[in-house]
Amino acid sequence: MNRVVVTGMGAITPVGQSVRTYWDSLIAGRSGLAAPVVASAMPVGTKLVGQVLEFDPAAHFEPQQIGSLDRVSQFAVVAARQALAQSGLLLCDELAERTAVIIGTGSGGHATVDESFHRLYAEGATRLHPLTIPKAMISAAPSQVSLFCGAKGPAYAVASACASATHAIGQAFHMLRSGGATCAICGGTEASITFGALKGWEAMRIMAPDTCRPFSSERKGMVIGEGAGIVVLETLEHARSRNAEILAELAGFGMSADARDLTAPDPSGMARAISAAMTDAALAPDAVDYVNAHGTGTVANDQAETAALHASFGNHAQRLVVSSTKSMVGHALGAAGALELVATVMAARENAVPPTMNYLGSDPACDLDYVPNEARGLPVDVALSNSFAFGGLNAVLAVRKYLG
Amino acid sequence: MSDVAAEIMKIIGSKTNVDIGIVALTDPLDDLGLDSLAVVELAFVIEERFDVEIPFNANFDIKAKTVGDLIQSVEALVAAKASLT
Repeated sequence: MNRVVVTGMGAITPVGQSVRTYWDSLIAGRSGLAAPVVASAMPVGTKLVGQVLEFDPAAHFEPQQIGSLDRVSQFAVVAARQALAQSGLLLCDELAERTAVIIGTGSGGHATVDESFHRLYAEGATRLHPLTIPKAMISAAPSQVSLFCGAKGPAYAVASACASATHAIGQAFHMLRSGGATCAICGGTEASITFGALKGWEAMRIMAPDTCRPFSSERKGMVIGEGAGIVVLETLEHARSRNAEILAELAGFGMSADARDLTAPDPSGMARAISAAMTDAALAPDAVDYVNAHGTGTVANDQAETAALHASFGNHAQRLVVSSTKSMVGHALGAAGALELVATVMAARENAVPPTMNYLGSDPACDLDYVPNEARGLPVDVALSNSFAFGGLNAVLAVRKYLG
Repeated sequence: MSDVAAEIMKIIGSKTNVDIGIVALTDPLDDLGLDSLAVVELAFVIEERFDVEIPFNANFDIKAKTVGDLIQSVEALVAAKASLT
């Protein structure tokens, strides 16, 4: 089986529109959470979101291209270009045909759906933009990334709600490992901070009225985010053959389904995915230095995830360093796992872990080291990135520092 | 029992397997076999029925709430709405 490495990364986030600004913000504990800016005159009850402000499509695309790109695809293409540029790959000839594009998203072109249907139902419009369907389709982002990057290998979207990006990267990992492709542009994208989607989230009554404080006492729920994270994966052999800079090794992937409840998390399902990732990467529990947690800030997720970490790590859980970057960028849903993998790879490269911000104090059900409120310098050789979705769909990636 | 209370009991009966004849006002909502999402859905049905907005967050407002608490808060919301019109 091929070993698989990360050679490029891109990020569009509420705290920076490049991996460098994103990472520096995370380490500085800078928050991107603010009141939502939504194109609707109707009242929105949501107090706080992690929105990518000051994203200018005209800075990235020709005027004739913008009409065919929903915001969710714009994010993905811009992040993919960043990742590809860092990798130094030139996708021509045979390599283009050996490069896969696998991108996760929770809801695809949500803004296009929201705006189009509002025109029909509320404004009485009789016709829609001719590209409404290809802009809104869930596979629009991987289609556009393949177009803009010239990647001609296997390409498709992966959907598993909040675990979409992690499943997408895991699928690409499997494909490269088994020889089905040589390189992959993979990750996740989400841009669903719309009036309709926010009302849907409000109806679940799990949104925090104050802020996102994962694993903390007095945590009151999640904060919705948006953005895109894209990584370039390639086989170690290929990366070595062209003397590419290797950012980290993707060492393992684990997934599971709870088969229990649509929304309530299940520690045993989470633990099976965590343990599967460690087994896949041939890691003993005490080899893991850092876990970038799913850590949404809901009462239920954070206590279930803590229980799952105890179950998977045993005594080592007490020495494990865990943090949730959602405390700064919110929950970017189908993009979250990719943004968190980027943070996990950076942690291994820079030997530092981002903090869990807004942490007030410990909760008896959340008794691990969550790196409260301040980043920490720490040798990170091996780290995990957890994603657990509604519907009980769990996915975990294992990253190992690449030492040559 | 007020009309609001009777209506809420009926809604509870339609959303659970519990015999509403034996439901007491002091019963915690948890004991009706309702998980947090089911309570959220129950609140939605009640809001639609009475055209009121029940303010609560599923993260921290559900534990320790009883059937009587729910009825009382909806009665107060319905009364407040009536006084406005």
